[in-house]
Amino acid sequence: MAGFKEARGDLQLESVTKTFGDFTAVDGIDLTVPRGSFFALLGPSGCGKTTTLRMVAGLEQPTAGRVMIGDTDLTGSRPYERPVNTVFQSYALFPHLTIRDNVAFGPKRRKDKDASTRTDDALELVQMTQFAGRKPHQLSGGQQQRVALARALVNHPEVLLLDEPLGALDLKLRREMQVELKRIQTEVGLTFIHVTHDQEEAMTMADTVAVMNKGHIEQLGPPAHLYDLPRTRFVANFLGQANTGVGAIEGTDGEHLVADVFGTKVKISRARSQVHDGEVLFGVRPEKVTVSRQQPQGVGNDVKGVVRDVSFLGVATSYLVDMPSGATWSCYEQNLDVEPIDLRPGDEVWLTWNPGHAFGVPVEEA
Amino acid sequence: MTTTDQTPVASPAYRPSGAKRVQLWLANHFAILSAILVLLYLFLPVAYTFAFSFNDHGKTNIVWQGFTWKHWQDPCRVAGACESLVTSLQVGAISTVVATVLGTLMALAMVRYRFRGKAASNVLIFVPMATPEIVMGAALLTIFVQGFANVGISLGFTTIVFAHIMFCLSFVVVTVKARIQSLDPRIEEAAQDLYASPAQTFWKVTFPLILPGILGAAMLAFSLSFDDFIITNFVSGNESTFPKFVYVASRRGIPAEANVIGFSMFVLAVLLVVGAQVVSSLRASRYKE
Amino acid sequence: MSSLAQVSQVAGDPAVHPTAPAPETEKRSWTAYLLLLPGVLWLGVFFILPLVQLAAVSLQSRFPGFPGYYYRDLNFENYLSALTDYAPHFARSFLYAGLATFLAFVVAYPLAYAMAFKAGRWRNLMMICVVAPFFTSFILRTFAWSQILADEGPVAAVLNFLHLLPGGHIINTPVAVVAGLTYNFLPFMVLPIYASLERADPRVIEAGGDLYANGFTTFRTVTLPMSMPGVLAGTLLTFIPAAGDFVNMELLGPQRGKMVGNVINDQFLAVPGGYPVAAALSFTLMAAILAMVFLYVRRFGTDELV
Ligand SMILES: Nc1ncnc2c1ncn2[C@@H]1O[C@H](COP(=O)(O)OP(=O)(O)OP(=O)(O)O)[C@@H](O)[C@H]1O
Ligand SMILES: [Mg+2]
Repeated sequence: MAGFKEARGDLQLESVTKTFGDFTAVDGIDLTVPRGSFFALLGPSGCGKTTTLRMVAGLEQPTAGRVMIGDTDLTGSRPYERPVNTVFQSYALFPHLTIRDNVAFGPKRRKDKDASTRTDDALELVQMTQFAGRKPHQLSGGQQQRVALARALVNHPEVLLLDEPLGALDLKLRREMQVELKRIQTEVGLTFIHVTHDQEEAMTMADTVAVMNKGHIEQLGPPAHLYDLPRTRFVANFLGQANTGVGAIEGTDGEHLVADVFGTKVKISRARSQVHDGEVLFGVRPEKVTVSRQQPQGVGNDVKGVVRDVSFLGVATSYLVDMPSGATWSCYEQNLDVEPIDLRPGDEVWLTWNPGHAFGVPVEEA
Repeated sequence: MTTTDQTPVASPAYRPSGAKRVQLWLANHFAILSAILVLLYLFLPVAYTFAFSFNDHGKTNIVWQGFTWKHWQDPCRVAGACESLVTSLQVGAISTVVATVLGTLMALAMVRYRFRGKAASNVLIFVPMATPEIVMGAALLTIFVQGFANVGISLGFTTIVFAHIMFCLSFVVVTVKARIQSLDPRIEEAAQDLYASPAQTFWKVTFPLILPGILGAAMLAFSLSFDDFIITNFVSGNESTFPKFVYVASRRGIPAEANVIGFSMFVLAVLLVVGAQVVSSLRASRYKE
Repeated sequence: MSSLAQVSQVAGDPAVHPTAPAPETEKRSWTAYLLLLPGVLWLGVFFILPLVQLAAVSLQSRFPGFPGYYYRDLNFENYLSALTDYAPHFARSFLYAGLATFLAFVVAYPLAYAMAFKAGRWRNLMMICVVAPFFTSFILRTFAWSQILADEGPVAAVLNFLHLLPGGHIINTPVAVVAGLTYNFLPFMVLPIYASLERADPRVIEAGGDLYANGFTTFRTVTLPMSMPGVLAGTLLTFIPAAGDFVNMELLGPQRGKMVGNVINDQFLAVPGGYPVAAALSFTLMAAILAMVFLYVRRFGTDELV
């Protein structure tokens, strides 16, 4: 294997940029993914996720910046020289080879002496042993996806790139594969970079989630942090739902900022706001909002609205409430009360929340 | 089964009139019927050729004079018939191999690379297909007589092969190019991602996948070469290919042996293609078990 | 003409990606030149160079008094003669080729349509049937037609019996020539149309059937436009060889009223001293065809020809 780089360590991207003509697909990404962690990349379609993965795999060379694993600089090296494997968005199985030969392709190229046993193990792992003699076109979409996974995993790469690998699976198989993937990752201790459109998937599986938008990373951190305390308007709206309103910061009250939103004074914990004067986008998650018929006493942070819609979801009830500002908020109430409040569209309600749950982000998107 | 989907017995089923039914049937089967007619039309002269290969003819094989096996027993009896067939097969084989190799290389370059002069190359590949054979034949004749003769290449086998490679080349490029273009580029990327060097990627993945296109191109090239008369007629000198033999013979009457050979080639081609199809479908069904 | 190329592709082949957005990997371009070199050299030596030589010949003048001898010149009179003396031959060539192309289209379309949508598992067999007659040799088949269409033959007999044949003959008339051209280039029409229909999604046609109900309207507004690339390639691949052909005229046509291909052939191979005019005729024919192809493709075509 001439030129093969046995790199080990954390994956690092240093101000990696990729432009196609005058279009910048990836815009100066700095990123460190610790060795052995499960990293999820989330973002809207076309934001540059696949392009980023392709640069890590070596299928695309960055216009600027460096890609490193540990101390080894991989920038400029060819895909076959990197200890990185990819599960492609479109599977890209070799149509002329059997499933077994597809999986054995990598080990054979590396002249692995145990190629045969490793292939068997990998097929076993994704439960495809019985189909080993078939050609890819004789498999269902989900089965093909599992083969694609086995074909990459069998090589025990230092970094495994997964570009929406579970997209074609039905919900049940998808959940199974998520558990399986997570188990494999913990077992073999590889670095996984997982691109997905499924937020729930990202949140449940990943140690770290990065939200990408328009070629750069908006925010990065453990899933719970990102959800609880988004730092940009984009992340607030992209991850889960958020009730938001624009207001002006008017002063402080101890550890809280006071802002005027919808003609109401709301408090935001100083530590939970990215802006401390001028305009702020105030937000609070739906499940943090309480709905009541009467104005609660002495809490502050309350707004009067009109119920537009009520939907009973079993564990919870979801309300849509029209606010005086014209915005519509949504609220989830756990159905814990013995006698739940019976609200109907048109009823006037008060919404309250704990200021410790509110967050403030800049109004303008970066 | 309950009563849910029983046809109501009481109301008489709608029955169009006889003429109307014929009309409907014709409308439904129009495409298939006309296809069968067209195929019959395509085969008519082949059938004629076959029938008259049994004609116990005298000087000319035009009027039916009685049945005989003798032309089938020794088709090489007529001077030049089998020799020209052998020449045609040799020319076809050499031109097919060379044109397929050169054309495949060109197709790879045209699809996989960006380079200066690509548009010009495209034109260079297209124009021979848009040039009537007679023009190419005339041009080749002038260059062979006025240029190549000076370096010791005179009209004959070599010049026929040169010319056939030339006019097959564009068709090969176009055929293989279409095949390469329809390949998913991710498949080759996957190979590279799985540690295959560029050479390994080509031989283990790209080549097997474009092989059907290359074989198709080779078949096309062989049939074009084997059946060419106009260009060959210009550049062949005293050498004779099978079409040229038939053409020359047609002035005094084509011997039935030519019919035998022509029809046999037709049967051979059909058998070869059908055989290949059967083999490949057998192979495909093995995996389904 | 790429739809001709599609013919060689097995239906439903999994390696084939219908919308493959092949990103041209920017590899170093000298590899591309290396790959292209042998083929381009071949076309240069055996296509371009001969044409240049032919161009030189088309401008030569005759040595007065020495038939068969020429000297290098810039004699454009050869072209004048090609255009004036042989204008009727050009007209006939294009007329007969045009008619044959149209007839081939009419005959080929139902066959291609049936192959693509109705044939099912007979599809490959039908394809073989379309290509196989090639192997009996073009000349043999044309000769067979000359016998089938002969005065004593079955076609003339039936038509005469029905009093549908005013002149009493088919053979040695332009009708026979057009029939021969139509027949001989039919596979070149069928295959590209079939290829483009086969690539079309039958569901789109069904949707058309839902919208219009009337079969003919569906055909005209949905099916035909979808097969346009194939029709374009097919008409070119039929018209071009038909316009330059002389064999059908030779074997099926009348003694007088030949096509331009016959003139070129005779001037080159039979008439002493005919070279310059024949060369001028060749060039004029080529230029006319290229111009027609260009206009035609501009009018109906897609951007990418090959
Ligand atoms: N080869 C290319 N040439 C030009 N533009 C490209 C190329 N590849 C990607 N792009 C553009 O770069 C941007 C990012 O593409 P990318 O494939 O990385 O998106 P993505 O985040 O993976 O989206 P999705 O979730 O839809 O897969 C897109 O706007 C895309 O159009
Ligand atoms: Mg993507």
